Amino acid sequence: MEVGPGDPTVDRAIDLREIGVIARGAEADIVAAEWMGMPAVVKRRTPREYLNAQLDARVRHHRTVREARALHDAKLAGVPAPIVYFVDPLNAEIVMERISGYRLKELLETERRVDLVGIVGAHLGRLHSNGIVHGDPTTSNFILSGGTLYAMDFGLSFRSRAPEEQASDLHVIIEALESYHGDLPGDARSLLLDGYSGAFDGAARVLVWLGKLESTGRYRGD
Amino acid sequence: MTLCLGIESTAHTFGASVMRDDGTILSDVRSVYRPPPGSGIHPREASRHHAAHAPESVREALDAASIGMGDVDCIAYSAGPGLGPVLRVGAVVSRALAAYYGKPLVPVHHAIGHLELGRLLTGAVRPVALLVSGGHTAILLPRSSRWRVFGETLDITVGQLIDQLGRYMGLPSPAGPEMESIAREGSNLLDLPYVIRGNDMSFSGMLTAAKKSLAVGARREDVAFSVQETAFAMLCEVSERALAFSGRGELMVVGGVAANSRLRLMLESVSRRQGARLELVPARYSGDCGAQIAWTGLLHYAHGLSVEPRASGVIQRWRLDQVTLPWIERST
Repeated sequence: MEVGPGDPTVDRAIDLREIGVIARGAEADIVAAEWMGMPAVVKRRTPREYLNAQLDARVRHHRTVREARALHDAKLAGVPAPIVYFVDPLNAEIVMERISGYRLKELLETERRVDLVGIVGAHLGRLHSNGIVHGDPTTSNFILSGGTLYAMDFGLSFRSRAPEEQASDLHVIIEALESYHGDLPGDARSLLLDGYSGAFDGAARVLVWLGKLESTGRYRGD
Repeated sequence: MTLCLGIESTAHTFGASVMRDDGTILSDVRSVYRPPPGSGIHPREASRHHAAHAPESVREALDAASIGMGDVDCIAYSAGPGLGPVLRVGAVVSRALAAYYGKPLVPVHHAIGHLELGRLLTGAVRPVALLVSGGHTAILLPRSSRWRVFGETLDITVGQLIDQLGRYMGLPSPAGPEMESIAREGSNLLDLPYVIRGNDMSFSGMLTAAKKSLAVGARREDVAFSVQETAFAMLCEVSERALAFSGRGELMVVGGVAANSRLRLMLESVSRRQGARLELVPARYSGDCGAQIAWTGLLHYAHGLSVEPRASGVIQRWRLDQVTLPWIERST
């Protein structure tokens, strides 16, 4: 029987053994698995049954493709990210390397590892200098594993070198740090921005935009 | 026992309400300015309307509560954010009453009014709150003496999206109820921009795309349907993320757009998926009203906040996460 690439009946991660759900996020399930004998996870974007089915399929497909591309591009930019083993856009699934460790969010809450914030800054700087905007760099989306801080969850990422888009990445992480980890010792913000500026030549321009974003107050009262 | 007279005057509604500090709403009177179909709120016209209806509204609120001004312990007013001329009507009325009767005057942030009245009426304690109205679109969490913004619109609000599209279609303003019934007749989903950045949302591209579709002959039922489906999907997504991120077990919905039954249905599903309880503010109190100001005024007053009438003012643009709220414990 002849089959072509993209045939939904065949183009599946056949050498995949699913072990069990590790996490149920807002938009995806993370399932522990083995792929060709290697520890892996399946990120499966589950349908949101309350959405219009067409809209739901469109969003899930779009994000799966974006995420798979960005995970690859991030590594090329020198930012640790899980290796993509297999992508199934039709079923909105990515099989990727399993990174075992702790989320930055937990490390900030329990061990107050404010030093990691500088690495987040450097990661964002490298992504931005390679034209990648993460789109969702919250403290849940970085994992420390064996001394390496991995960036994950690139579903909202996109390609852009516009300083205003890059500034919005910084804004997301600063908002997360200030609103959710407001009681951290030391100056998380300066650590972040120092790490960022050290890794990205265009940082100065972005910081100007960040200042604009923060001072205009997007919260409209009219 | 403390009684507060609350005056709401930020947009379409002039509201006056008397509340007791045990959370009883003794009265809640409103007078709503309605611009002609196809046009939006005109600040000067709205302020004239409010100025004309303020005295009778306040009197009705006192009568319905069976009290006189002498029984009032404090006067709260919506100090912002909102339309300048409209805000000033409420401020002038409140200031005059406070000065004449020698009552403490308490400025209140309008959106915090929505959130706190929501907590009172639903019994939610530490909810994720979705605030959707003409003035605000945000997902919030009460934490460390503030309502913290988890995600918000980067440009226009969902209320503005619906009202401006409604105006373009020639519907009366606010256009929510009409838009909802038109959307019910739609079925063909148009490809509109679904824009989420981090936890923030953008709706202005959707408005432009929706107007363009109408201009090139799309059925207005399909446009209304697509706008609702897409915009509400974005609100639901960020709400889900806030629930998943915070691990909180309540999703509270406040603001005028919360009256939309399609949105409510979607949020029921969101809360089920995230194992949270959905807390909907009774429809009568989801939109603008004096009670939201009276209740928040009571909370502030109990914590020692009041201003001299001479020093009181209005703030047209005022971020709600800049207001310190001592009743939100540091630990939550």
